[in-house]
Amino acid sequence: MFSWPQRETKVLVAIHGWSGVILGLLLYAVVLTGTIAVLDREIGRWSTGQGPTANPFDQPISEVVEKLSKKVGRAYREDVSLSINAAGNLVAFFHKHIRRVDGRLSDRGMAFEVDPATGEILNRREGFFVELRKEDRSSALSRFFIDTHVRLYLPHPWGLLLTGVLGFAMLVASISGLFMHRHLVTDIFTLRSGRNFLLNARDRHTVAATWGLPFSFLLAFTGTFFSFAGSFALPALAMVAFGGNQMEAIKVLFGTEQLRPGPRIKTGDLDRIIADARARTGSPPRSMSIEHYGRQNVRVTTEHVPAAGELQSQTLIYEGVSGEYLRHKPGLGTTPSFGSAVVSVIASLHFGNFAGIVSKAVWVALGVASTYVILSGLQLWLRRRDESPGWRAYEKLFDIVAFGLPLSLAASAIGFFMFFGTEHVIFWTPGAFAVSAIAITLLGLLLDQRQFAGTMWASLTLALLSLPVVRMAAGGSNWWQALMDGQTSVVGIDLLLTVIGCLAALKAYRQFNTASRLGYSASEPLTKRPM
Amino acid sequence: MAAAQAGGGASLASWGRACLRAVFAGPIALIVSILILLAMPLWFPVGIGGIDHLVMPVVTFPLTWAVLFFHACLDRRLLRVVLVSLILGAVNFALIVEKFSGAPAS
Repeated sequence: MFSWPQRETKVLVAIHGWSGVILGLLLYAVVLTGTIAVLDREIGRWSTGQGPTANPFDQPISEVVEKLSKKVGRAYREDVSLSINAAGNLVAFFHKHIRRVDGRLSDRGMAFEVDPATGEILNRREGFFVELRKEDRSSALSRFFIDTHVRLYLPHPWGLLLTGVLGFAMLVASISGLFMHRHLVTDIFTLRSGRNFLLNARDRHTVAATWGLPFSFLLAFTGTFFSFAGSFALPALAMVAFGGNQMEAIKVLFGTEQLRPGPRIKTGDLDRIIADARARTGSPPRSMSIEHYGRQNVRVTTEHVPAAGELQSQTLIYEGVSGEYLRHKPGLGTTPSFGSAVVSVIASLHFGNFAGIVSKAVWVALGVASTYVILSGLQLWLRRRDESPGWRAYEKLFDIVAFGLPLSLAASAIGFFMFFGTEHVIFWTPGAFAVSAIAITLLGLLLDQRQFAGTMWASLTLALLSLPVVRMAAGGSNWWQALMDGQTSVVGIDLLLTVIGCLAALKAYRQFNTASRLGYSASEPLTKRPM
Repeated sequence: MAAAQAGGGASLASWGRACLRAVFAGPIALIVSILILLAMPLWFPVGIGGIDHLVMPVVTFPLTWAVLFFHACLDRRLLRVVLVSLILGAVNFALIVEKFSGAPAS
């Protein structure tokens, strides 16, 4: 399809290979956790599912918010954010905007976690939003997966910068992978049979990569955009376009109205606003914000998932005292624009949430395919060079990371359930991941490759099959209760784990069985071993 | 002897060209992309929502970087790679300097 001269083809092959080899293992971590993070809401419900999951915005909340407002100091009544946490409870955050010691603007206030059915306050905490978010016990597991995907659990802005570079490496690998094909159409369908391991591995890698090419390009591009936008691009643009005035940049970009708070007056009926927003968008809000609560010039913003067949999420603005609908607000700016539409589409395509669980399932499947492409590409590279001691050391690292990451992610979930409901869950969710990663690294260094692979498949089987049991032992719903409560994501994720666990058991059996049948040793080159 | 010396000289020149190409594909491509990102709000249309000049530079940044990277790797004429990068970098740097020096941007 693409006919490049020999020199350019060689350069493209080199770019494709080296971009994968240098950053492939980190990219594997980002893509695998990103695939899991597509299901963050479902994982949140699965990890905390203990009862019916009524949407808090379907319950009357106006009175609840008014009662809560009387429990906070006047300073924190500037704005209110209403959201739903992983446990399905309403979180009301009464706050004000202040500049932190490091110069960054932040929201500080009091957060209440409320049972939406009874209005009972389950928890209250005071502090900065970013810190309170880290202390939310119910979302510790889904947040750990997301933080690992977004910033590899590194501090701001270094994690975002690194994932931005990784996204760029994936973009480069996708583009070079496309252009180095001489016969793109035939390559899509070429799976040759035979006993040539390298040829078979190459065919499988090429077929998976070619089918997933548009998706890989899309994810790499949108992921790079998000990483760089959050880490340096937007502050740098604010510096150039607004002379360093970040407040002005935020005001223009996010379309905040900056109305002056008027005299005190009771805020109108939030439930009426929610009912109207639901009628206009076809879905309950996923979050709300109220600017200048209890004052004149109060503005209520409701955010909703994209409407059926649309890619852009929906945001509505209401006058808060009368409850009068004012307008639809674009994601960015105050009026619909090309830039806002582009960013909304980028967001929907990256998160795969534009068609509910169907688009999420497709995104998970394509994410798994991308993970396979990264691992098979690296494996292919290593098998062609396994006579070299340097590459055999890299191969050791490859094995440790390839097996260690999914197993350690499963360990973090076990850690979460073991300390579920206690304050230790915040530490032990990432802590269990770290302990598992250290143990797997030591095993990888001590065992030969055959023993290590077999042990890892067996451990993964054990970890995945035990997760539903551990979840129930930690107080989670059993399948019957979950189905009665309408928590299909609890049963769905348990079944998914069971299926993957059984596949891992099959791999473990084959690993031990083939090794004992053929009797190869760890010192033999990889090309002589079965894949 | 002379042929060997000539061969060694050619190999050294080839190695030097490869290094220069790597520098332009790596750090220089990144720096020029960042300069284009920073200067873009100064000439890109603001749009009806008043935000296009802020959003589009960030959207196009990964693509600009990729284009400069592949150009530096694939263009056979190294001089053209150097000239394209330096001209783009200089023009965008000048726009930023003009903005901060207080002179009205044309």
